[in-house]
Amino acid sequence: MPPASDPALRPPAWRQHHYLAIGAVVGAIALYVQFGQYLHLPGLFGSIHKQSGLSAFNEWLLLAGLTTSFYLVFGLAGRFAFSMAAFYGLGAYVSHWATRTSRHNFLVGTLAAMVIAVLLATAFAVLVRKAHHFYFAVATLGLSEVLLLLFQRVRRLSGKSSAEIGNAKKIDLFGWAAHTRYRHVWVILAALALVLVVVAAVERSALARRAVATRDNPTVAETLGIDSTRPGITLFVLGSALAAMFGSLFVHTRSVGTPETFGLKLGIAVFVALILGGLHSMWGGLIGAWFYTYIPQYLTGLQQWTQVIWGAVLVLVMIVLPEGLVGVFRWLRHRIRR
Amino acid sequence: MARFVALFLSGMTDGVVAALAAVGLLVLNKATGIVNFAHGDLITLGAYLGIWLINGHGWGYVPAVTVSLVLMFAVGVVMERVSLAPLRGKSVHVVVIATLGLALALRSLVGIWQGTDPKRLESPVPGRSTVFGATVTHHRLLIIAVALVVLVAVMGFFARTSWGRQVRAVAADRVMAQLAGVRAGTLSMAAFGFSAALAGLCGLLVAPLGAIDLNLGFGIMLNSFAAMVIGGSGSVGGVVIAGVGIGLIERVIGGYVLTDYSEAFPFVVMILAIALRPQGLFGQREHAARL
Repeated sequence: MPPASDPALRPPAWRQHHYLAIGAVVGAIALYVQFGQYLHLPGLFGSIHKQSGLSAFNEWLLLAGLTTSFYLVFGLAGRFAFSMAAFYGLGAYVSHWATRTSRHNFLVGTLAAMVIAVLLATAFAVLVRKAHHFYFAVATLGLSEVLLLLFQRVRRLSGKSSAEIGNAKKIDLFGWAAHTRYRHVWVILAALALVLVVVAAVERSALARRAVATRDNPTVAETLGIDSTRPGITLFVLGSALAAMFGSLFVHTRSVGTPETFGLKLGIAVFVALILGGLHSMWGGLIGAWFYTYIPQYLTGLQQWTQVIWGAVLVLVMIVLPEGLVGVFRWLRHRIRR
Repeated sequence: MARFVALFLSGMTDGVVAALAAVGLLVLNKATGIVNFAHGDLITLGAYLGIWLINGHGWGYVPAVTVSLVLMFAVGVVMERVSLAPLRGKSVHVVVIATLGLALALRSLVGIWQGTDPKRLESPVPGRSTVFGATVTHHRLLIIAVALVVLVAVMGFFARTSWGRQVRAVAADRVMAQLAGVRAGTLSMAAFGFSAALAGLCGLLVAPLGAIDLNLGFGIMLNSFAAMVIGGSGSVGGVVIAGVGIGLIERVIGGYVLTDYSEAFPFVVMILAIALRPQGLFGQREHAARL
């Protein structure tokens, strides 16, 4: 589509050049990982040259990936799904199960996790395709509870007498051993770049246009001949599979995990990150996850109030900043242009 | 036979509590259009208020329960005024997210106030009896009796009082009800307070059944969502039957088949119910839905 002649109507540069923007952001993160210790940026990503700093950095990247996957389901398709954390857990448990006793490496485990997630998400989404809003949300809440119960009770998944995953297989890629937190950063960053490219491709496709039309006005969308269920199902399945991929990365980088890791707290974290960052932007997850991971580090002495603060943030963002922090950037851009 | 009776009474207890919580959700939903995801944490707060007054201050059960319910009503009204009234007219997603924020804040505040260690509350009716060979605690019988009385009273209240008729009118057609003079703002506050008080009662009833922690209300809320979905969000009677049915399915069927996975039964039934009849088994078509 040719760019609009009126500069005011022209989309911002990062939307016109989606893939270049992704390359720039991922490249900037990579440069920071490589040279961050010499830059001395005060506290942007903690002390990245220390093990604890790298651990928090990986946590941010994983949450950013999970939240960006959730953007497909909630941001684009408007499907209120509570199941993202559970699919993340499914990825972790299935990948561990597929690799713990065999010679398969983590790529096979990740593939197995994504295949199982696609099958389950497709069956579920087709089953409840007519459910909207509250009914869909509650159905996904029910699915999450069933999955969490399976993680707790099916011992074959953990391979132990308890439900805890322990000593998960480390990441080896064609002879390159990613056994340190520093190397984990590169693996997770590559996965995040892949997800951003997938989301950008979806955003530029007819699928996204159909999903947004159905999300914003299903009746009009149907009168235009758009199938009102298919875009929602497709994006739910895609988002769930990507969540499972990050779950697999989580377990192979951390080596441990419990059903509680993939419970309510993570589910809420995904919501907070996406809504705080910006529900209707593919960059919202990245920004929101940074806030969720790093802001508590500045709340010295207020650690026990962190969850109260996130709860208040959710309510306040809905009242004051419905477009999230991305909305603030848009407002600033608009002011500068004027 | 003894095993069946024990499982049946256990299922009835869980079922009537889920039904009570679901009716609180339903009243709020019909009066305001909101599904409150903080309902579970209101249940937890009710239980902790009872523990605080009875264990901490040595109050008797009757004054402690009365004061707890009044406080819960006030908490519901404050919640509506502070966080949800400013969002009136916004999309369903926005309001639901705000209730999620409230849930998170409320749960954490209770944790800061009372700590995260499990707590216990003695039953006002200690002891146990034998019913058809099954040993049953008196407290479970008390829960069933109190919950059934309250459910019947709530149904009567909505069928026969002016307030109940106003809620039904708003549920049927919000704009027409407002044009006819129903004050939707006041109704919204009252519904929040009433729903929170019912949630508090659930918490107070179940607290003496075992050690309670911050997750107490979440499980009950999930079962009450299932009851609301299966019962059909247009029918109080349907929701009550569904709530009791869920408790019985989980305990009675789960007591004999796949016992390790019995907690998943209500959710499997709920997902199937949504798949087969998105408007609920006892629900009516959306345009004809009535409370």
